[in-house]
Amino acid sequence: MRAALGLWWGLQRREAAHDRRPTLLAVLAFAVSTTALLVSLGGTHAFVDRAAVAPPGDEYAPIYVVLALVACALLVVPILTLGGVAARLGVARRHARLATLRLAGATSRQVGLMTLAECAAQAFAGAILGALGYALALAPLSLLAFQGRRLGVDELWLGLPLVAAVVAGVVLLSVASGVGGLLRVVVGPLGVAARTTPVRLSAVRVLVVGCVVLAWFVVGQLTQQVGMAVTLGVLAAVVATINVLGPYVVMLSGLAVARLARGPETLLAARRIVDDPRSTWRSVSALGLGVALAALSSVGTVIAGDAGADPAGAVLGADIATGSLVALVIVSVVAATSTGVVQAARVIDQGPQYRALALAGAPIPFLHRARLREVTIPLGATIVLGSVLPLLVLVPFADLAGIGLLVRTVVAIAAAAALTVAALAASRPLVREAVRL
Amino acid sequence: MRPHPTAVTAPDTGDALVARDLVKTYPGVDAVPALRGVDVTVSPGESVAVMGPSGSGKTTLLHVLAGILTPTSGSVHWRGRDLARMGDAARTALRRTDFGFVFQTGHLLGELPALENVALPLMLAGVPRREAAGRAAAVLATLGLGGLERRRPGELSGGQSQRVAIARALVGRPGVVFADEPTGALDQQTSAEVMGELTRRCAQEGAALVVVTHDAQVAGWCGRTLRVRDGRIERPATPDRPDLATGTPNTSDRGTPPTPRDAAARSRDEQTVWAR
Repeated sequence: MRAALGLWWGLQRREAAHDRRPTLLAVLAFAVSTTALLVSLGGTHAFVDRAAVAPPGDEYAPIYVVLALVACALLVVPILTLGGVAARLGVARRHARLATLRLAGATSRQVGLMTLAECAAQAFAGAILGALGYALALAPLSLLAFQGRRLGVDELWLGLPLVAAVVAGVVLLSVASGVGGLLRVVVGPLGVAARTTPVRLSAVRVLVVGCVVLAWFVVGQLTQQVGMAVTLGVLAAVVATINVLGPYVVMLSGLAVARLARGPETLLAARRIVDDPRSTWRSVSALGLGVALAALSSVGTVIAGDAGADPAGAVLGADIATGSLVALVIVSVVAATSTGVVQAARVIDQGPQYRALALAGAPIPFLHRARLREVTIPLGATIVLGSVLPLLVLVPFADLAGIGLLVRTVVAIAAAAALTVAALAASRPLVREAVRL
Repeated sequence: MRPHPTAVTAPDTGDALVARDLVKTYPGVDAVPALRGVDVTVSPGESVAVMGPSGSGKTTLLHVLAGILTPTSGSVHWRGRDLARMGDAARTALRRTDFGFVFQTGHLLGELPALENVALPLMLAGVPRREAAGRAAAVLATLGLGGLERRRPGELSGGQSQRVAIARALVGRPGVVFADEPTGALDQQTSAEVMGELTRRCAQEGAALVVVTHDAQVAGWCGRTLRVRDGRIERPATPDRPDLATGTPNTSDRGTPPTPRDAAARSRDEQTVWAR
C-alpha cells in the first residue's frame, strides 16, 4: 500500500504542468459545487433558525422553512451533478495511465489504490477551497434581507462540524465514483477506451416520467391525507425525473438537428450532442432548472401579489422573488462551471482530433463555432422550455409590478446564459493550443 | 492536368510540388536545424516515400511541403504559388482544397459516422450537405466501404478506419495526398492492403502521394524513396518510376514481393548506409 501511494505521489509531482490541467479543472469543479452546496444549506439553516425562535402566532415562518427546503432540494441535484462531472474529468487520461502502470507490473490493487488516492486528493482539495469560498461568501450574503431583516452571518454559518461533514461527504462521493470507474476497468480495459455505438437512450424513460407525474397529480390532491413528507418526497421524484427525461429529449433534438443540419459546424455540434446526451444534459440541466424556478416563482409572486392585501403576504411574495433570484445566481455559477469544465476537458481529451482537423485545413474559427453550437443548441432549448411557458402564464397578470418582475427575470436568465457562454469561451486558448504544432 | 496560369513566377515547376533549399529551425535553446538545405520535386501523380530514423526531420519535411509549417528559409512552390510566402489563412484554405491528409489511426472524428467524416472537408469548403454526402458515399464505395457509411470510427477495424481516412483525403480531389505513418498502427497484412488502396486510388485520381514512414515495406509501394538523415536528403533519389505508382509494390529490384525478411534485410542495409 505504501509503495502504491508513494508511486502515486511521485507521479503527481513529476507531472508536467501541462498534464495537470485536468486535475485543476476537477479541483475547480469540486470547489464550486462545495461552495454552492454550503451556501444552499446555509440559507436553509437561516430560515430553520428563524422559525425556531419565531413567536407562536407567526404563520409565515414555517412557509419560509418549507420554501427554503424545496429550493435546497432543487439546488442539490445540479450541485451533485457538477460533483459528478468533476469526478469524471480526465477519466480517459487516467485510464490510459493506469493501463500503462498495469503493463509495467503494478498489481490491480496498487492501481486501484492510486486511482482512489487521486480521486480523494482532488475532491479534498476542491472541498477545502469550496469551504473557504463559502466562508468568504457569508459577508455579501448577509446583505440580503428576508422577512424584513437582513440575514445574519451567524444565521448563515452552519457550524464547523456540519461544514466538515460536507467536505467529508464530497470526498466520499468522489471516491465512490472512482470505485465505479475502476469496476469498469476491471470488466474490460479495452471496453473503456474504445468508442462504440452511443448508447441509445430508450423511450422507457418517457413512461417512467409519465408515471411519476401522475403520482404527483394524485398526491397533490391528497396532501392532507398523505402528509407533507410524502408530498415533498414525490416532488423530489418529479425533479429527479427531469434528469431522466432530459438526456432523452436532448438526444432526440440532437438527432433532429443532425438530420437537418446544413453547415458543418451544426452537424458536428449535433453529432457531439447525440454522442453523449447525458454529458450534454449535465452541462445545461442546472441552468434549465434554475430558469424554470425563476420563471415559475415570478409567476407565483405576481399571482400572490394580486391576491394579497396582507402586508406579511406581500413581504412573502417579494422574498420569494429574491430567493428565486439567489437560487438562479447559484445555479448559473454551477451551470457555467459545469459547461466550462466539461468543454475544457473535452478539448484536452480530443486534442489529436482537433489537431488533425486543423492540419487538414479546418479553420480555427470553425472549431470555435462548432463548440459554441454544441452548447447553445441545448442551452437555447432548455431556456425556452424552462422559461417561456411559465412566462406566458404570467403575461395575463402583468400589471406594472408584473412587468418589472418580468424584465428582471428575463435579464437574469440572459445573464445566466451569457455566463455559461463566457465559461465556454474560457477554454478557447486550449483549442488554439491543441491545434498548434 | 490543370493549367498553371501563374507559371511565369515559377517557370520550371508546372504542376509539380517543388521545394528548394528548405531550412527549418525550430525556436528553442538547442536550435539544431530540423531541415538543412533540402530540395524535393514531387511530380504530378507520382508517389514518394520519405524514410529516415526518428528525429531525422522527415515529418518536418512533410509538414513544410504541406504548408503546415513555414520554412525558416527556402521555397515550396505549388501550382505557381510559394507556400512559404502565403499567410496562415491562405495556407489553411489551400490545405483544404488542394491537399489531402492521412495520419495514423485515431484521427477520424469519433462522433461522426464514416460518411460524415468523409463529407466534412467538402462541407467545410462550402459544398452543400446533400452533394457532399453523395460524393463521400461514392468515394467510400470505391474503397470497398459501401454499406459501412453509418458506422462510426469506433465500430470499424483499423484497416477500415484508414480506408475511411483515405476517402476523406481524396474526396476533395486533391493534387497531393500527404500521409504520415499511415499504417503505423496496423498489422502487416492490413498495412499492405491499406497501402495498396492508397497508392491505387491516388493514381486513379491523378494525385501525387507523399508518405512518411519508417517501414521499408510501406516505402516499397511508392515509386521512389527519399532517405532523410540529420535534416538532409541522404542520397540522390532514384529516377521517377511512374510505372510503379499504380498500386503494385516496388519490388522489381528484388524480384519478390516484400516479406518481413526482406524488410529486415533492407533496414540492415539502411543502417549500414547511415553509418557511413
